[in-house]
Amino acid sequence: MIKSLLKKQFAEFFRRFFFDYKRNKVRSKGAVVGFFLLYAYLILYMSGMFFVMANSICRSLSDAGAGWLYFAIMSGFALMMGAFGSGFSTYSGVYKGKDNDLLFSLPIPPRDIVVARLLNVYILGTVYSGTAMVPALLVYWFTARPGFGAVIGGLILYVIVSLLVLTLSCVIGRIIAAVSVRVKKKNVITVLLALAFFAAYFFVYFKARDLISDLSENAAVYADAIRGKAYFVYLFGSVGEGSFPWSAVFLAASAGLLALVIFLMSRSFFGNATASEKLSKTVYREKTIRGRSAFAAFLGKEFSRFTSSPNYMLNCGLGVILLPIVGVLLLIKGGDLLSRIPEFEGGFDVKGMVCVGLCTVLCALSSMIDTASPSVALEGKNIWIPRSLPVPAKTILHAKAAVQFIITIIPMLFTSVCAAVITPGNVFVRILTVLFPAVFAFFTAVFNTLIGVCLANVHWTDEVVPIKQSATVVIGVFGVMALAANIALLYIPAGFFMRADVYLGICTAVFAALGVILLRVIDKKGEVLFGRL
Amino acid sequence: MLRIEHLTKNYGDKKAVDDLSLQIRPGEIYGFIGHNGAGKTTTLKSVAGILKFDEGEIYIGGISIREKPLECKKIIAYIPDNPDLYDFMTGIKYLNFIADIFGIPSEERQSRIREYADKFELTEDLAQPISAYSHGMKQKLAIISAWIHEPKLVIMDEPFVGLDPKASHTLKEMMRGLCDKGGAIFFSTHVLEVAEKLCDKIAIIKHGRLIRSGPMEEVKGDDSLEEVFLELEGE
Repeated sequence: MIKSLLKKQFAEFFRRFFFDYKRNKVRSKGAVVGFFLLYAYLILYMSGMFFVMANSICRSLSDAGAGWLYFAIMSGFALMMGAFGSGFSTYSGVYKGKDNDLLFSLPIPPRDIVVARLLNVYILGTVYSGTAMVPALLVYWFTARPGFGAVIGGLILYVIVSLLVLTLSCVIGRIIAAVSVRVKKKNVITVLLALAFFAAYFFVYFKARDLISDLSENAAVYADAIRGKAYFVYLFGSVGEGSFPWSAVFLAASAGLLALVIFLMSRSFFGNATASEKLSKTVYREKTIRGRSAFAAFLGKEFSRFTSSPNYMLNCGLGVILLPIVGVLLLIKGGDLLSRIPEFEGGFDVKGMVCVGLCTVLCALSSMIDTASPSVALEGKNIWIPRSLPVPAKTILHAKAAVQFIITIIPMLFTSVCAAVITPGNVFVRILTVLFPAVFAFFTAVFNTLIGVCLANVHWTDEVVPIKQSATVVIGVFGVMALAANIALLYIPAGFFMRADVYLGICTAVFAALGVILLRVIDKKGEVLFGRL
Repeated sequence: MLRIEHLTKNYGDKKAVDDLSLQIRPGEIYGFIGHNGAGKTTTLKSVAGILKFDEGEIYIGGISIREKPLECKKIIAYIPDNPDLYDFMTGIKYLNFIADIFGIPSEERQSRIREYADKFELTEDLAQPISAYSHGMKQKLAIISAWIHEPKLVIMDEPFVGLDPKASHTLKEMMRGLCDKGGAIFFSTHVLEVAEKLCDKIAIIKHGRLIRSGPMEEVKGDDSLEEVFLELEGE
């Protein structure tokens, strides 16, 4: 039985790579390769970050005989990445599967359903933790040149980390399941909790850089201190160095812990999966309501959709929080830093580069607001509603783009004004520091909408799929981020013969024109594209 | 009110609807029956303008749905077989959303919501999120939203599924009321007794082809609709 369930989960997980739900046919080989390349790009991007970190500490720690500390630190990051990546989707993936009713009606033990559902979580957690673990292992193997035993030990450590990630994800999912039926306003609470997690994560990440440089300089001292005070950490890290007795102990302990958690989850699974929210009944009282235009109605609907889902808010609206934080940081620390930058160096406009760089950072941050990318796919089974109403597809798509633009432009204006205050450029640069990110926000809103309607897959069983794992979102975030990075990169040659205000002016005009062109494409092709869904 | 001419729809190699033609006049309740997978939903979706068809033409009030879909959609309402509504909205928000799309003035929409919600005993629950509704409550909300703009033609796919007996009775009254005002109803059902009592005309579809259609009395003759249907299915 478990074999059949696992096959179903495998099929569900990998089917989207090989099957085009929209056209109801198998993808071409080119499309499959493209899909894998996109995901490979995403994984390599995150792995690169950890590769740099691993590279900066590996030599000093291994030379000081503290390879175990290196593995303990990198395993800690891998655990954070894994829990961060898969933990939040555990609740919806395990407890809220759309096939719950079907599976519960069949003679399947709850434990088998839990184990099968956890397969997706395990794959996801292993991939996410692998973005830290794989570079950590490769860096260690090439830097310290250990024996075969350490290579095996490193691989065992990765397995242990992946099991611990799954255990952590199960605990997070179970907590969310327990809390979600008890609290009111759970969307807000989930978002706040997740934001607190994000804040803690970024705090640790940025502090880690200082700690790492300190650690590299005083590797032996720290290693002795930690070994003395937290011997457990030493033993855990020594698995990566090839300590086989402790590999066996930690492997058995992590497997046992996971088995215990799964056992406990299975016991309460049916109750948690079928528990309904404790709603206090709000009795309807008739109120006078002003009529709205079709566009305003769809705009309101899109906002309701966005604010109704913590997954949607967190994955597609994180930039709303990050942009003002960066704005405040720029005001506090930016001016002082920028005042020390020379105006020209070797004929290159360094200050101009800083101005362009500031705009690039704002644009890159705005890529973390991509509500429009999954919004068409999120119509899901409701797609019949907009399609049966007498509203042109362009109105529906404009509303989706408008929501992204509105929630981007408000924090963006605040942050870009902060940037304009501290930017070392002239008055034109300051104006363009506000104008260009606004135009870029318009462009990305339209671009993401177009990508969203072109690549939408409305056939999903869990909303996490269109929100987190779809090609539209990968392109909407990383594609736009790469585009923003190119704005700064192109200024490196352009900065030799062009002032920053001229360059930013050209960029503003180009992205405004591109935005208008894409909007025209939506207007002309939207009906056909929407009709195909 | 509705004229379907030689409608054909293929899904790959499979012909879901094959050269189907029928006509519904104002004031008629037109039933559409057939076995599972016969092509009923495909036909209804094509009429509602949410499914593109390969051949033929559909006219609603004389307007081609292929050429002027928005004009047609202004005068029709569609209720699917499964009322998947916006779960993140409350009942009243959903009704206002639909009323906004059809540009119904504030006072009119309020009086219609009041009237229909009272009929279906849904008024108290309108402030609840749709996610908390049962299947039957969602179906009632879908019916109210369909009637809210006073359509000329209502297309319904299995509208009685999930409704309690009282709500079913209310829906039948509303269907007759709409037709008495010059509107028309085109609906599919597997409940042949309901079709027999309610419909002025009936069409039977088998493997995508219309095998019998016309006034109820002509189609069934002295037999019951069930007997006629089973006989035709057996052929």
